[in-house]
Amino acid sequence: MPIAFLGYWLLLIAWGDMMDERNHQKLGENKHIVLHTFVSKHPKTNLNYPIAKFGHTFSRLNDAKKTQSKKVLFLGSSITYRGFDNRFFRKNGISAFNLGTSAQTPVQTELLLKRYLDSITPEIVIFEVSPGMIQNSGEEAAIDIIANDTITVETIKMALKVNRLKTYNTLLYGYYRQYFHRNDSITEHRWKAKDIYHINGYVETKKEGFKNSWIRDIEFQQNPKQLMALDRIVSMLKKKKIPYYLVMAPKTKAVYNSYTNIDNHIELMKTKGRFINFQNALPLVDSIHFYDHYHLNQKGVLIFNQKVIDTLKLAKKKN
Amino acid sequence: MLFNSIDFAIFLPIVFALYWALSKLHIKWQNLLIVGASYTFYGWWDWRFLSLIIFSTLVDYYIGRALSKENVDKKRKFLLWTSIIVNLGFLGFFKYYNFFLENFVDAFTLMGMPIKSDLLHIILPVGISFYTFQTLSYSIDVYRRKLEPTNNFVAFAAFVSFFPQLVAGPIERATNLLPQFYTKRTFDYSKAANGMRQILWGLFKKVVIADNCAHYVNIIFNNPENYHGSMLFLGAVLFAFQIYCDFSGYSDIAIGTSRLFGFNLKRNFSFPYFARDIAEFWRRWHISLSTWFRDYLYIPLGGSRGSINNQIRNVFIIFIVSGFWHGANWTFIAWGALNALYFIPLLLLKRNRNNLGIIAETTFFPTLRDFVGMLFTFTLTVIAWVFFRAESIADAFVYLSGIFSSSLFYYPEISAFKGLQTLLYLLLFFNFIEWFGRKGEFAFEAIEKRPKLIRWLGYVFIVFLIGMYMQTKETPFIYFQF
Repeated sequence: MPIAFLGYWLLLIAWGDMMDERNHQKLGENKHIVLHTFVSKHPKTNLNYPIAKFGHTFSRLNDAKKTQSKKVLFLGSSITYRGFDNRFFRKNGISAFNLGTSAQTPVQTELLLKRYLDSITPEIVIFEVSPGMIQNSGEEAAIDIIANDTITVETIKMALKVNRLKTYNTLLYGYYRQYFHRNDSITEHRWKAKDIYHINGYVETKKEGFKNSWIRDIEFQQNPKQLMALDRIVSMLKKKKIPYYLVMAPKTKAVYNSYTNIDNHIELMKTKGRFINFQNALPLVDSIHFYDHYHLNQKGVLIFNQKVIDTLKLAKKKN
Repeated sequence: MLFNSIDFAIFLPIVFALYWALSKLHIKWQNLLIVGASYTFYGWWDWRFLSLIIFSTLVDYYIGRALSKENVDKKRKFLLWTSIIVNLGFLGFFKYYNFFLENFVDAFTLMGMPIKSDLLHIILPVGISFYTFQTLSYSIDVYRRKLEPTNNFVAFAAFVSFFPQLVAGPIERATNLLPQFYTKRTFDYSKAANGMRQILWGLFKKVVIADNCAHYVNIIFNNPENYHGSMLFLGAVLFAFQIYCDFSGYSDIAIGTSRLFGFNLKRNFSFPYFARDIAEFWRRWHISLSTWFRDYLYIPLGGSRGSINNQIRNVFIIFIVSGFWHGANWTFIAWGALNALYFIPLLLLKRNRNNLGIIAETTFFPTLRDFVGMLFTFTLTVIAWVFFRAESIADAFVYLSGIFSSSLFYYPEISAFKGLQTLLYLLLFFNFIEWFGRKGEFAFEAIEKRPKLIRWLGYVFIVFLIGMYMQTKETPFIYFQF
């Protein structure tokens, strides 16, 4: 059995390296074609290693390792890293770090806090808690963190909580890459398509126009694992006496109205701590302030962030 | 619980360990464990379904006992018909009530006399089509005096509910399976190892081939107007492999699991897509069901004896009933009827028993004639599968008219589907292994004779493919809905 497991791991490594586009570039165009004769360019497999790929997680977590003492720490999914502009907060005298990652769920938030909370030492934590994060399995976010951060025992515990085959495969491959220092020379561009990464975690979008799409009614289910992780996060913050706010960032009216059981989610979040729903608190227009149904554009972000500062009274009073 | 689930992965080793731990005790303890495990397995779906299977078991057990004491033909027939009515009554109600009601209402509406009716919200008990046929075979064989009725209720309950084959077959005959519950089973390593091989191959067929084919089949069949005829044909081919690998994969897991417990189940699939004509296809596809219909319906009707009209009538009855067994929808009946149309010319020309042996038995490559026969038969079955897969007869004809259009000769839009190219390579690999292993019970069995290193490389490679291509969402087996 151990030899069989080793054989499986070796095949996984061979496969992962074969699919690594960085290796394709080294091999040259002709061999690139040969490889893609056997395997399509984008196979649907249970191995995904998105290092320095989506959401600038690689850059953000590298920054987090070097960050100390910020006033505010933002947590959550892409709604967070695209919704809280720490430059704007800095202009208002508030130092902030944005630790949002793609599709982050409480299972990943817990891991990130265990790693970075003691070094970032925030005075306040703002945790964006849209209903999707409580429902999701956390697979996508787990893979993102495995590929872009150091693998430790905590990472293995996170993978066990997510308990998906793709996560385990990515963990096995990721450990090989880490052990043999295959990622030491990886860098990530600040600019990717129309997104720019700013130091301390915020991703500004230069996307223009509103990408409309059909929205169907959604009834959210609560994933018990995510709820338990959320409770552990709340306990952790309370134990360290760090004040926290659970917030819901605004989305388009179409999406918000499609949530058939949003009241259940709001009531649940209120039981976990101070909860603020910014949905109807702002004069936002879908086609002007959003670039898709879930994410604000830069205009919308500035309006939203000002409201956050005012509501939570984050700015120091000027004497 | 599904075979491809964590629940089953935990359930099986526990039952396996307890089963062989009890092997030193009297056989009744092993049988009792089988019954307990099987009821747990079945009740995992919905505990309410247990009452049906227990009732069915009790009815047929006591009918069997009564038949053993009864010699008056009229009374024996009465007992047999009681078993048939109870078993088919359950099946008919749970599976076909709404179908008949809907069609009854539609017929009256067409005649200008609309009727108000309320459809019942009936949950179809998993596996009912399989275990009712299994218990019926017992009653019929006892009635025909082909089998001695059993006095051992635990053995009989174990036969009816045996969990590896309970929910999706193979449909076992009492003459084969029931006696195995009377004899003590001893652990046989090579049998268990072969069982594990068959389980592994079955899992590969289900989670790598069938589930991945299903992804593209659903997209193509849901939006046929968006694709060229060539792509629609490819979609139908993918469905042919989906249903084969899903169903035969389940059978492989069922048979392999049974081997772990020392039982021998009958083979259910024998490489049907290598058939050289449609008659051979039906001797190789879902063998347990087709032989059931042959022995309990076709032959009593007269089979291939009698006038040509009777022969044609019997063929149509068998295929249409077989189609109807699959589901309460006109599409299944149409699928059955189409297969009957395929079969009848062979029967009338007395060519339905031409290809009885293994294709290319003494060579690696088939003859040109055999190859053309295989391709032609496969194409016929693919066309028939369109009816099986479509939601309605109208949808099936829309799909087929899309295939048989000028765009059939366009290049299929493979690159429009992420991962489809890889799946096609996997299908090539799969068919190579099937061809290579066509002389065995199941394709992967051929690896048994290879050196240890090659065997283990083969196992690791198949496990790797499962690990890479298994869908992360659990997908039930298609035949569970039947």
